[in-house]
Amino acid sequence: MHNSAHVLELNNQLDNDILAAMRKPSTLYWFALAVCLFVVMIGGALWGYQIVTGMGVAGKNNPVGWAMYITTFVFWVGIAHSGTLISAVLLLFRAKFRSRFNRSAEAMTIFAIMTAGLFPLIHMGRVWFFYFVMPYPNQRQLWSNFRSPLVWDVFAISTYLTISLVFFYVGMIPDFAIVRQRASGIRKWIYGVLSVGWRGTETQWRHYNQLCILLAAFATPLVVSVHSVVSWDFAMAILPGWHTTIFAHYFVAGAIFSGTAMVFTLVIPMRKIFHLERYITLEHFESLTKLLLITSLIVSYAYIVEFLLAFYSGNPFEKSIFVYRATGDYAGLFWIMVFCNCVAPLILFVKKIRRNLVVLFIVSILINIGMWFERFVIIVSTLSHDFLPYAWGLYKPTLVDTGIVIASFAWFFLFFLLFAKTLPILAITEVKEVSAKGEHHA
Amino acid sequence: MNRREFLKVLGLTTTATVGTSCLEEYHWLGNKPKKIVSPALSPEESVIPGKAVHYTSTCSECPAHCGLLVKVMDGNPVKLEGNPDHPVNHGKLCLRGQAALTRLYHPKRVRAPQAQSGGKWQEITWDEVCKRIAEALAASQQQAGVTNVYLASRTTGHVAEAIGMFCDKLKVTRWPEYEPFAHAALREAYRKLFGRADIPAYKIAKSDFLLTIGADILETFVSPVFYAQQFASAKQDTKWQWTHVEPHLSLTGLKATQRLVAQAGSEVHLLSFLIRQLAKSFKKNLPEEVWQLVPEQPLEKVAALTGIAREKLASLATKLQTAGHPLIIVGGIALAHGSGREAALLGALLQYGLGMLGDTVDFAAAEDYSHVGSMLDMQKLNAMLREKKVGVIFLSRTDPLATLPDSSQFGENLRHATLRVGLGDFLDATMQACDLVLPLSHSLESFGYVASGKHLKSVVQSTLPTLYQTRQEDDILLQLVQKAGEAAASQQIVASRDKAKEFLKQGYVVEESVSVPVELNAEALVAARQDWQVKDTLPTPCTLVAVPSLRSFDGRSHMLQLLEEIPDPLSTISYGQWLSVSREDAAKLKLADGDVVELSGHSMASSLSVFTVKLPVKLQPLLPQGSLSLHINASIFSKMAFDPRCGELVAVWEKAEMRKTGERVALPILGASPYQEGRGILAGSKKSHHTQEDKHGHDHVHRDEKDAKSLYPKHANKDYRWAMAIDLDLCSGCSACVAACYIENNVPLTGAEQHLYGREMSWIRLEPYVSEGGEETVQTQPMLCQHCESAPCEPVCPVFAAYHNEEGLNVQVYNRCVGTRFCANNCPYKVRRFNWFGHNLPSPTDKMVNPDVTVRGRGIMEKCTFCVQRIREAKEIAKDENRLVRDGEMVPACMQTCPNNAIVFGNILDTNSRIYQIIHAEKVHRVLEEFGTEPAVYYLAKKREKKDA
Repeated sequence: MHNSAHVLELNNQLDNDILAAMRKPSTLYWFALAVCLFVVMIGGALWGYQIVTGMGVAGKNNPVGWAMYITTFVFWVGIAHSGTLISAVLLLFRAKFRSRFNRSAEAMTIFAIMTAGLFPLIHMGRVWFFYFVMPYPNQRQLWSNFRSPLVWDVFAISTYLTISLVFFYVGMIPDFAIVRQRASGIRKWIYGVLSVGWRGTETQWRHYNQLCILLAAFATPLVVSVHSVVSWDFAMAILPGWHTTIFAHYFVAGAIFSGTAMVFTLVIPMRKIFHLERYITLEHFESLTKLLLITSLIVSYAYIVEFLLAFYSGNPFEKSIFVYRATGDYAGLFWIMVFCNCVAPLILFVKKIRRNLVVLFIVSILINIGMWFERFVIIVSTLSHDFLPYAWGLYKPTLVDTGIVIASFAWFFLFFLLFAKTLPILAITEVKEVSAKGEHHA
Repeated sequence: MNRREFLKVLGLTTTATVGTSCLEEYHWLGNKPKKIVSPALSPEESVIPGKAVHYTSTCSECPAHCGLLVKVMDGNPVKLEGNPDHPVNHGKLCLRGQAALTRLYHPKRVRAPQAQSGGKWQEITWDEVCKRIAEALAASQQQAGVTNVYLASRTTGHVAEAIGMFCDKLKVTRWPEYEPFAHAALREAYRKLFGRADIPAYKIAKSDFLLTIGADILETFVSPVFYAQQFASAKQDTKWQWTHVEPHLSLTGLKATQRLVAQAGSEVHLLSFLIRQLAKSFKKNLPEEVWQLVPEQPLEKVAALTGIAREKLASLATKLQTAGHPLIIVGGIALAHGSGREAALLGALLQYGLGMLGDTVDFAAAEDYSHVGSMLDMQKLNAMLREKKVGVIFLSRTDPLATLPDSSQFGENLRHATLRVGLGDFLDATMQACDLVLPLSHSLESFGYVASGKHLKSVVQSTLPTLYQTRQEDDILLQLVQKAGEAAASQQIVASRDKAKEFLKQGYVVEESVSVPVELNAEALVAARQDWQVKDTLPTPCTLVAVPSLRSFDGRSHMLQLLEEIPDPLSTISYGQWLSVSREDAAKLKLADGDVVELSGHSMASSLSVFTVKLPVKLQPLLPQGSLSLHINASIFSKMAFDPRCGELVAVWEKAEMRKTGERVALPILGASPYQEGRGILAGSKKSHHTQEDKHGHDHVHRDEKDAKSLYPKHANKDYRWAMAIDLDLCSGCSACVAACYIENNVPLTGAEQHLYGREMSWIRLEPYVSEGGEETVQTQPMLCQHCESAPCEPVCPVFAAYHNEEGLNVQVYNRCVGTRFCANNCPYKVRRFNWFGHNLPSPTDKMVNPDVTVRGRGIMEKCTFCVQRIREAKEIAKDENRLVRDGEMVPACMQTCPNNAIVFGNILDTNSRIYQIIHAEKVHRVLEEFGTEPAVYYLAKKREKKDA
């Protein structure tokens, strides 16, 4: 079958279509890139101002020591989740629709971790001593405190970033080889180096597939562990509304939920712009939408369990915090969260809507918003209303922290734009493989 | 030089260096046991870096004159503590006393003499000052009918003598001293009935039943630290009873066994009732015609007029009758209204009748108010100024422009004087209106003595050379006297000041006094009865009372930012002015905290006292319905009138009205809620069903050991486990501990704007909570780092900046902290403070920094350390003597200053220590104990029930 001219022509067409995205950029692209860069620079300047002046410019105060920075940190870590899920877990489960999303999802993962990783630094009172958190040999024999969830974070995030990078890169090797064939000049050389001598022989493919399965098996536990560790930043504290055992599962589900939503937010416009309708079909979207729906239900279930536990426990502190969440100063945000994460995704039960990209896009944006508010509500409402009524206090965002949070989105999209022009946006070989097999069976 | 020679020289020089440095009693952490010296006695005492010396002196922040020990390090006073032997304060200071140090280093102090011409200030020399004053004095002496006037605030000791001498020799009229709170009605009553225009010492500790009517003895009344000490010692007797009567809500009232709310202005009816009830059983036999002068009031009517229940009135009379040593103090707000004079007279009569004079009311140890005038004297001065009869006027340490009513037009009239000379330390309203401003040295830069009581002289000692070109008042007068050629007089001034040298070391001297029996002048009562102004009006729906603030007193301390930074303990508002309203009144107008109301007040005493003002409100639990209260500041003073009969300020507006304006103001309310919400925060309060009720009572100390379940081994303590016990029964919320902590630990001030964000830095704060269960009351609870055995802050710190040391202290390592703020999140007591910004110390406040404590920079966490620098110091001393720190040697700053002796600190591993005894013998409570944090701060529950009858 591989020898037939028809297949060859088809493959050629596929290469052309996918690699079309890597051609010379349009003015619109440059404009988008410039906007992102500009906002990132503003964010950098705001961070510099914050370092020089003090954390006070970021609006936090005595009870509310964590606010938008940690919210956004958890948000981006959550976004980073679906990359591994779609790549590794679905690879192991041999879900075919995976191949249409995995490249963007993996790229998204890496950029999201890069964004998330900035926030613990931005959040630190003395960022110039950030290396104190890492265990490094020193003459004072001072180590970091391994009982602190923040140290676990350091390991969880860096491990996740490493594995994701390796996975991302390994997945691209055959594609680099294709790009190398078509590129010229310095680009040819660069893609040549990146493709590490890939020739597509039987042996290479056999080894390659084994490696992919191995990496997938290696990465799968990370899907659970990373966000569990992030959730323990909260669950290990004794604060009402944080100190609960459901946090790990609840955060992992939430992370997959938000990450998948982000995939929709990115892929739907990408498909349109690069004319990939032939390769990413409505069936593919529909399959992924089911994942969105099931995680939405898990998240909603977790919300309900949280409330039930608080009231069933009879703990006055827990009770008070959940009443406060639903009716207190931040109640508006809480109800936005409930609408975006629990109510809006319910329409995905309708098959027609699962195939309607406009609605899907809107729902995915809503979920992104809802999940950001979820973290905000968890963090800020608990801190502002904990044990001693005297010490309660409210947090109000300022220009500086809002600016930095916005800049983090620009930072993320900046990398995604660069990705779209420099790397193959779909896993070409995998698409070929799947479509070839599909045709054979048909 | 060969090798051997080199080694020889090296060896010799090393030996010499090490040897000589051992000769000096050098101690890197500071002082050996407190050494009290004086620069006047031992001038050879040079400054040794890092070594603290303590000088005796006297606090000048209010007229009470508490004895001080000034801690001086590297030549700068860095902390004020009470002189432990001083009869007034026994080693304690109030928050204003603690803050007095910040006045010395205040950046806005006037630094050199200045002259005003055409609205512009110009620095001049002291010689020029003298020249101009001498010329002006000479010129006005030639004018007929023109007097030169010297007006000062209450002055005692050598400065009073110098003023007397100066006025005498230079023919200046020494005007009766001006104090806004001069206790005019009280002194007038004592003068009329007993011929003594003084304020006696009230011996609370000697009494077995105390009745205070209006007098806020634990806040601002006469000598609050003295009374707090008396209160603390009276409290030792569990049978001691105290009833407080007030129209509003005060910290003092909350400490009384029984707090009775009486309609403002109706105190006189209560007193009449008590006299008529008790007259027949008086210890001092009063002739019937005397007590018959007191109007008869039936019980029902008194109950209706005052608003106090009948049975409570009856039981009050019984308590007074049965008490062996009763004491009645009438003062403050109870006298600041139209019938204040009558109330003072009746109070004095009751004191006489019940045999308190010479027993619990002691005129022999009276406060010296002999030179103090009243508003009537100020009225006279004002009239003279208006009629241009005043030549040169000296205004010393007084701010009449800010404290006299606008209606007096004192500022206008002052312009008619030919030369206005202001003496003081700040360019306040009065000084701004002067031609010459002479900067006075702070009392810590001056030398001499003051009289704390009539027979108690207390030294004022210079602890550092003057920071600026300032002079002490008597030096200025001395130069003027010398210039006038009065050599003998100038010698006398110096001689009077030098008397202080005789008691420098002790800091005070008590002179022998003969107690003269006080007799009643009944005729004066008959005369006073002619002018009896008592109205039988029933309570009005809304009454406004204005009371002096614990923090700024009569406004003289308002420029000290520390006192604004520390919130008012009841409202928890730090910066700004507000109106306290009851929950019921607020509900009626649908008011919330920060809503601005337009307030108008009409006083029955004086038609002049009508005003309207716009103020934001604060809901105050326990404030009686219909009662509005605010703290007096300059804007309130400007609207106050006085009783033309005795010169007492009128601070009660019987007909007050407020109207909601719809505007809102952001108030820096530091305490978000005064309610415990069933969380069992206060000792002895009811918890809701989940949290464990303290069933075991006092044996829970043992329970911890049994129930402690942890994955980690218990901390091993070596020699010490520091702990603190706070007796809430004694804690009045006076905030002295907070001020002491700020200064001892270099805690930065953040200002009003940051307070609105909730970024105060206090290491110890007072949380007022409404009690739950039983009769409603408000109890302030000091909250500081609890130094938990299983501290939630410790495991979450990624870098070990928060860790547990072997003495049980929860230590914060500043230079290890990276500022993740996880520790503060996880602290259930929310006592950790993050440095949101860097804090700059404008010169010369940098000199006030305690060199034993690190100044923290931006981006790190800090909190109470149990004064670890003092622990280190005590341990170093003990180590030198090869022993452990003894109980009572280690005293943290808060405990040191606590006027009520509510705080006990010590090592609980020492079974003989006071702290060990207390927590094992008494019913103790630890806040949020159910979380297993095992705090080291124990709160002692109230021992007695608040009960009526």
